[in-house]
Amino acid sequence: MSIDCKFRHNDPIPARAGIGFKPQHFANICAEHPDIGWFEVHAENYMEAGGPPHKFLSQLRASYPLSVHGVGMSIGAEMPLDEMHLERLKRVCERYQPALVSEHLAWSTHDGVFFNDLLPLPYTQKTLQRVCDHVDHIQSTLKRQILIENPSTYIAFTDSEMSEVSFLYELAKTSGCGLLLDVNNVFVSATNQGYDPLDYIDKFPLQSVGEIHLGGHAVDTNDEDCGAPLLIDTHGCEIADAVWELIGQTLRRTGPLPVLIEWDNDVPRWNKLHSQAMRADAIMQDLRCQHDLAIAQ
Amino acid sequence: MTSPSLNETQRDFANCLLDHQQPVPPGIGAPNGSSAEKRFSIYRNNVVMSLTDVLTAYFPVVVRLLGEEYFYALAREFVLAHPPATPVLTQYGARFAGFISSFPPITDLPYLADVTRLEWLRQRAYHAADGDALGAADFKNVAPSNVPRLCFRFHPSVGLLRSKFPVFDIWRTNTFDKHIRTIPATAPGQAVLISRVGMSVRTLSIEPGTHAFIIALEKGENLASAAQRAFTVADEFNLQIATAVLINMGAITAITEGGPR
Amino acid sequence: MNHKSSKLSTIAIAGAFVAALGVTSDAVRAEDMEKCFGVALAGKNDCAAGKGTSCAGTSTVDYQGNAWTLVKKGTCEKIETPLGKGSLKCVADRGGSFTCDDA
Repeated sequence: MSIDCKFRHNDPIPARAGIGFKPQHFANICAEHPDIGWFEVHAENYMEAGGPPHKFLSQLRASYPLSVHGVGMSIGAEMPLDEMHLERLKRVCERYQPALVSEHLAWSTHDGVFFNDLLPLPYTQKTLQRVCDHVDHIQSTLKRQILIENPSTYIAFTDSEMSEVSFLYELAKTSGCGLLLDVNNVFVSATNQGYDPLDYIDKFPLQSVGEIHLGGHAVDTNDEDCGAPLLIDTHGCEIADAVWELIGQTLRRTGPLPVLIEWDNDVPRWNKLHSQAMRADAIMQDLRCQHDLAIAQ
Repeated sequence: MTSPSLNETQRDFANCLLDHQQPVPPGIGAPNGSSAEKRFSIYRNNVVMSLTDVLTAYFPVVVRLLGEEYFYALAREFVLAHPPATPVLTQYGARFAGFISSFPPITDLPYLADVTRLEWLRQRAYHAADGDALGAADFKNVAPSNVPRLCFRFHPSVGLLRSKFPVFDIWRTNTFDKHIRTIPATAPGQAVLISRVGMSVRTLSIEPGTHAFIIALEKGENLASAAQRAFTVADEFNLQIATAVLINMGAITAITEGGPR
Repeated sequence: MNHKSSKLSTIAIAGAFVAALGVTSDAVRAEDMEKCFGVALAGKNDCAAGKGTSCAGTSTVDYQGNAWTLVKKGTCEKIETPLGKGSLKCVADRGGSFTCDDA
């Protein structure tokens, strides 16, 4: 079955809201041609030989700027990178020519087993060296800069030698990678680890940020067992008001950036997802107006 | 005491993710006055539940047959015993049917492994390489005298299954019917042909002779030889229907011998 | 064998083949679960926590061996097998056996 999508040019990712693409929204997107700045997909969902997913993505790519977000490269693993997987990521990038490519500061594979979760790292000099080597290898293989995302964490390692922010600062400086600032992850980790999320943002190397992520989290209700408070990065609901507040404060510091709305579990109808993107766009539009006013005065 | 290497930390962490009896490895701190054990269990649960979600999506009929609660418990056992070997999760589930066939608590459902195989073939067909299927018109120029020597190349999505159980009927009623029909114990076993046509995965019940016919063709035998095998399996084999099935299922992408003109 | 040889003559094979080309797709109906653009089988790689992810969500029940006492609450009771526990019940409500009309 062929779907007639409107075609657009190969734009870079604009400083606007984008949406994490879900195949169930494909019909809405093609029917409505919504005014969305860009889309992002998870690289691993497009690594098979053929079938509908590639048809969806080819048509989406022809109509919107695209960002490819890897979720399985396991950059934080001590073990060598999976060269076959890197080759698959390279093929996805060659085929779809995304404007941005990103991955996570996390590990997910050990000794040939893939855990399908973004697992935390001790922030030590040794880890930093390893992650820098891996990012370097990926960037030279893909022949492009990639962005690395701050994780949501639930535990900390007692032998960490530096803060997450310092780690990411050093990583960006040494490897030349950019950073993907997930503001929901900042809020989740800060709450779980007991630090101030705005302080994290203030110390973050914002000049390296090429993209922002926003997703919903769940509040764990089993406080007594878990130690209150505890947030889980589920991407399964609307973005929390406190996170909207934090993104507003972040964007005031950075200016408008590509802001992705992520919703991976209990995926809602298209209109609900779209409205989250419009809210992010409205924040950036306000900022632009305030900026213009300030210049005019 | 020197701190463990990153590899040791990850090895211990990984072992604990899969073995829920093991205590949380040393060096893991739980902030906010919570217990390391409880915080670590979030990761354990993440691994199990995110992979269970994958299996739930790819094996909906198995879910319906067992009920969600039972399926989740079964999936948990599978995930912990056979975690993925690749980050590409569309490839996760190939070993689920084998696991089910040897899992003692469900030996009272001997058909379940074949239903699992059927669903896995559908999943593989969905992601198989693209190919242009030949239509009836593409065969119009084949000279009748060449027909017995025809060999076919099959679409990458084509999958075949032969079961001792009425696996197609079980799959169909659990996929399409709000109220599940009763499938009698005496129902004969079924063979199934799966292929992807355009954006859709198609699933068709085929006669045993047709199954043998397609298997032979897939091995590279020509039409006459494949038909011979089909008749050996089933006296009532109908070559016309079997051929029509292949063409209408979009299963053939090329004639590899004795082609048109 | 004569019977089979006659079915396998060049003329018979060619005849069946040509006749097959005239069979419309309606005559070979396949069950087609993916109406429009099927997405159920699409990729499931995500970067979010799984469902039910919390301290409370982690099962401490050991389902191994004898501890496996869960009851199947799905539709499997409708599938009668010689081994099936639900056989008696199923025999009683067997309204009419379901046959496949495809192929």
